Amino acid sequence: MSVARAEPAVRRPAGADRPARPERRRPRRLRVVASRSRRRWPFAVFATLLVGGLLVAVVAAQALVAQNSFRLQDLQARLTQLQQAGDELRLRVALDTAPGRIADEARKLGLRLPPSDDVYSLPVAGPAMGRTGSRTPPFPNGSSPRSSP
Amino acid sequence: MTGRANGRRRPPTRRRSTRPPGGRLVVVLVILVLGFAGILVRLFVLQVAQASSLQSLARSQRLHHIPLPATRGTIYDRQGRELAMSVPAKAVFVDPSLVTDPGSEAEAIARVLGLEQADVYADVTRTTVDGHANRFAYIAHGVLLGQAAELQKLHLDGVGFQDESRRLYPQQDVAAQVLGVVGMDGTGLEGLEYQYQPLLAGRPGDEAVQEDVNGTLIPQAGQSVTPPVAGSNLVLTIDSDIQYRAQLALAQDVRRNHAHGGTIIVMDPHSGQVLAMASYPTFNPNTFGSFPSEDRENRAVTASYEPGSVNKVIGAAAALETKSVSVNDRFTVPDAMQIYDHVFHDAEPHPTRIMNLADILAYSSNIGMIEIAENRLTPGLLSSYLHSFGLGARTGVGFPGEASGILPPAGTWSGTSVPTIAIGQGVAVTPLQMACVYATVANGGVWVQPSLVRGTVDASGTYRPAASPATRRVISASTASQLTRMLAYAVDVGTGQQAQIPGFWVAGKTGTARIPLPQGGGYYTDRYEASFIGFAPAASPAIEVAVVIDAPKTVFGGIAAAPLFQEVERFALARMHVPPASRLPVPTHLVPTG
Repeated sequence: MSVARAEPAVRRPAGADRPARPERRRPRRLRVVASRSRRRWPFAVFATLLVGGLLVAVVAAQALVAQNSFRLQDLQARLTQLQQAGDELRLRVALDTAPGRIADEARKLGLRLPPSDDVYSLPVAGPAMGRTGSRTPPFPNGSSPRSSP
Repeated sequence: MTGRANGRRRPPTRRRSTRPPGGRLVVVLVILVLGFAGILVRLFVLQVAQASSLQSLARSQRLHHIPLPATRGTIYDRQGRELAMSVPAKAVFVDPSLVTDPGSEAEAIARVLGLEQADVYADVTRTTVDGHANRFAYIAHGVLLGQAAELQKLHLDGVGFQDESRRLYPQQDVAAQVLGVVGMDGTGLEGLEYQYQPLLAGRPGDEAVQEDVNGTLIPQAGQSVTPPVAGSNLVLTIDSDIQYRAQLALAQDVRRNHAHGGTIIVMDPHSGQVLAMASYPTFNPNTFGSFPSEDRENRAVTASYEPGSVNKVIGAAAALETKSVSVNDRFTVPDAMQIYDHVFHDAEPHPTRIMNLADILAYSSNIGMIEIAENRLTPGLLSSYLHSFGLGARTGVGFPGEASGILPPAGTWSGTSVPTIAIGQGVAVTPLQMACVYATVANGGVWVQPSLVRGTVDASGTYRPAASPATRRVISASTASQLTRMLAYAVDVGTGQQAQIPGFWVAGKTGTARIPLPQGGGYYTDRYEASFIGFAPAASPAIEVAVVIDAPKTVFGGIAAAPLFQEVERFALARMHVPPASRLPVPTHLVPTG
């Protein structure tokens, strides 16, 4: 059985046995390499787009909120305006239906209250209407149709 | 390689110069420690010790509270028509120091608001006591929004506007004395506006906003809003048509009889609900400041008077209920009678007559009623029936300033008290108390507490009826029925004939009472309270009307008050769709005998 010669535990550095040669300076040659920045541009574009997109989204969201806020304000102002108009109409109706005003208008039209002897009450069949002791609420469905807000 | 290796040593002087001395380090350390300790102490003071006070100080500087006034509730009549309502309005004010042309501004403001130009000019040129221009003066309150907008368009220098609400009474003087008035600050001052102030006023809200040092609103800062709760609405028992007609007729009656004033009450005798209540003279609550306070008084509830002959129904009720007198008993009735030192008279001289109780009521005989009270009733019995019918005590209607009347305790009565009180003198009642007496008869002998409020409608629109009125039986149904027939007889043939209504059977009683002198010690010789209280249809009473006319020239209740009763009763019956009820047969004992 042949036995291979054992390799030295530590490899000598190449050329260690060789006499040192004077290092020959070779002129460096310029070459075109891939620029680092060119390698990172997709990231930059992506980041820019992301940040830009986020900014636009934030601005859009803010604008939406502001728009809704303005719309809310407008609606509230409109609501107040309508409520005021409703109150004025309610007042107008109340003024126009006041018995005194109706009597005045009737008088202007030449109407007059009849003397009491000219009025005859005719008996009607059936029970009396509008019994004053009724516990029925004066408004339909138990609520006032003209209740204040 | 070290210096030692090089065989050289670093010069000692150089080593000393690069290492700071221990003393300096200690000093710097102490300074830093003290500095940080100071900061920590200050932090502790600010963040812990004074934290709450500084927080509240900052909050008070930053937060601004805006009160949100609650809308005052509306007052409706029984049909849901507005009697009192609040509408948004503006107060117009001026900063006189900013006014450049007072003359033209005053002219423009006066023209738009309908004010006196001189008054407005005084406001826009108002100065302080030391002669400088004033900085604030109100020109008008309660300006409606349309007028305010017209004024705003003029862009007048120094003129500003402030939100407020205005209480309006669209039906003018209808039920004015019942409704009362509201002051400049929106608080009820009189009448139902005062009585139901907590209910009508609601609860004001609050808006807390944050402002910067210049008072500019910080929009992003949190705002807390406590919304106001609107006041509840009142639904009255008043019917504005009947109320208007009653007021109109009352005013005409007072003028026709040259009286000082008058009061009228229309009510449902079964439920005690007041359908109309008015006094004359009256006032317009929209301009209440220009009327004397007496005109604003609801004299139906707050004023007492001696009722006179309408009070005889109580003595008659006591006599019938205790069976001290039967309907067939006959009395010999002269026209005058002396009791102790006092001589009582009938209204007019007449020969001695034979009368029964129905006749005594129908012809309103003082002497007949005195005979019954003196001979068949005791002071205690008469007093107990007067109390049972509600005299001497408030009715419970709850109206502010309600009078209880005057009913002396029976123990203090003199020898002439029984005859005096039996004919309605020597006691004082309110018109409402007396209306309740006749409502008791019409209601089959059951006294019902009168009411002015039918229910409430809260801010959510839910209607809540008022609590059922208190009731008590005073006389039996049969006694009430007998009295009703006697009262109908009084209208058919007696002193109340002017109260007759074609097609209806009317029951009622006249009253003519002397008016006591204000300083006491006697009565006017030429002034009387004329009254009539009755109801219809007598067989099935639906509407009761009580009328009191103060010091009419025509003197008698049958002349001054009965026609007014007839007019208003007739209108109310038609308004409430009450059909005529057939007459009950008149018993033979009710045929006049004298």
